[in-house]
Formats: sequence, structure tokens, C-alpha cells
Amino acid sequence: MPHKCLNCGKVLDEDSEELMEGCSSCGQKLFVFEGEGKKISKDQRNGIVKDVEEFMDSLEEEEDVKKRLKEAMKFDLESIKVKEPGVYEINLRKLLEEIPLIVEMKEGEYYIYLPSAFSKDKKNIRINDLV
Amino acid sequence: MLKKLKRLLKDLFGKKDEIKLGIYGPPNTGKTTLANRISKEFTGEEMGSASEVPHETRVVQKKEKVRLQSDGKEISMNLLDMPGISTKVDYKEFVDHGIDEEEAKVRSKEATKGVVEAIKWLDKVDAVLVVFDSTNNPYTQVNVTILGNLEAKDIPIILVANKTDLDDAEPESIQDAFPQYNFTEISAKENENMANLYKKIIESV
Repeated sequence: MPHKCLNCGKVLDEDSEELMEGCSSCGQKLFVFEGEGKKISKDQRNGIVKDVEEFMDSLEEEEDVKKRLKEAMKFDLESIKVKEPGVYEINLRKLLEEIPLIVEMKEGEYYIYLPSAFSKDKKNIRINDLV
Repeated sequence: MLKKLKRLLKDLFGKKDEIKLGIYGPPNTGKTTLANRISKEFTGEEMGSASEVPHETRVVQKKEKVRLQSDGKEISMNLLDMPGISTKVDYKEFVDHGIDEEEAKVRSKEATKGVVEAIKWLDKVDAVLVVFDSTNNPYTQVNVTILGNLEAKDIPIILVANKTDLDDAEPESIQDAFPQYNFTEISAKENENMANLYKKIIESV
């Protein structure tokens, strides 16, 4: 069971068909091999994501093909995306499975709401922390 | 499993706490109308204001010590009316309902925060009513995600097909979409079939 989806973290069996066909939870096709007792850190994970993105950029493909490839490889980090002031996209799956609360304010700019990482008391979430 | 054991022990020793019953579902399915109906029936008071504007409930509304009775049985519960859960909140929806842009943006932010709160409360509730609008297709990302998560947490669920008083209501489509769950159809607004729901709530906790 050492393969893990790089996007959603689902752990797969060694001979899982999902390794070929894509993760059944999120559809991504990028997996990381974790040796026994070893776990990759968030920094390492982000490093891999960056490497893959750079690799995508280096491909000698038409811009629109690259764009589509990148879209397909989009890394699903944030629980809430602020598309524009007053328009929020909420990733329920992320929100249900993950603390802390991560809000993407604009492309590539993330806010991590720290109290949510330490306390389950929702009363502490103030509206202003969202924007 | 642990929850079930805890409940069994509580039953055995007669120290039953108040049951926390959460009312969940997408916006505009009639959660607040249902909460008001239950609260009015057993406490004489309503809980919150229902509206046609989506995301009217943006913070969790609580009513404590609601003594629900059915068929000679009684349970005491805290009724929790949750903000509607959605995957997108857009201030333009509020503007379409005649709310000015600035106020709409504030509402939008509050509604988003409400979704986070509602989801966090999932760790505290003992049983859940998932409320559907019987005139809408039930097979949505929101419904599938909520139900999957509740099932994983082993929380008793009752699917409530609401708004059966409307002409285009198709409550059976909800049961067909999720046949594995306890199901009942009602009109909270018209007070139809509520006795059946009360019975199911008592049976499930």
C-alpha cells in the first residue's frame, strides 16, 4: 500500500488499477511512493508539485495544450477560493476532511486560518478572517 | 461504533443527555421552516426567520430542551438549524433578490462562514435530518458529500423530502437516489406528514 495520491492523499494498494486510470476519489493521476514508515512532508509535497508544474511549462506544446494539461493537474489545496470579492467557491470534500481552513485569495495566494488548526471551536472563526 | 456503545451505556444507566439533532441540507430546502415547525409544535416558539432569499440562516440557530413526543415516547433534544451547505456563494444571487451590492457582499461572506460552521458541527451532532427540496434533482455534489460523510461518522440520518405541497414535487426521486437511508416526505410549511417524521426521529436516536 505504498502509493499515495499527491492531490487528495488517498492511499492505494500496490496493484491498484487506479494507478493507471486515476485516483477514484479525485481523478488525478499523480502518485507518490511512500516507503514503509516514511511519510512525505508538506514541504516535500509542495516541492513535487512545483517540479511537475515546471516540467509542464518546459513541454514544447502549444499554449492551449499546456493550459489544458495544467488544468488537469490542478492541485486541490484550498478549501475556499475567493473568485472575486463576494464570490466564494467552497470545496466541500476538502472542508470535510481537512483542518486547517485554507483560503485561496487569488491565484497562488493562500491564507491558512491558523486557529482552525488548533481548535475545533467554530465560534472562534470571525468573519473577517475569511477576507 | 463507539457512539453506539456510548448510547447503549447511556440507555442502560438511564443518563440520557439531550440529543443534538442537526438539520442539514442545501440552501432553500426549507430547513428553517422545518425547524420552526418542530419548535413551535413542542415549545410553542419559533426559532428563526425563513425566507426565499438563499442563505437566510448564516449562523447555527439553536433551540434547547425541545421535548419531542410520539406514540407515548418522549426524547429531549437540542434542535440545531444549520446554514445551508453549498459549493458556491455568489453575492449576485442576493443582488437578484433586491439586496444592495455592499450588503450582498457581506451576506456572501457570512454565508461562506456559515458553511464552515455547519460542517464543523458535524462532529458534535447525534443525529441528522438531511432536508431536500422535492422539486429539485437530489443527486448533487452537496448531497452526496454530506451523506457520505455522515455515514462515515456513523451518525443516524433521516432523509426528509420537503415541499411535497408543490405541484412539481417528486419526493420518490430522492428515495430512488439514496435508497439505503431512512426516508420520509413532508411539507413543513403545510404541516403535512409531520407525525411520521417525529416517529422516525424517536426511532433513530
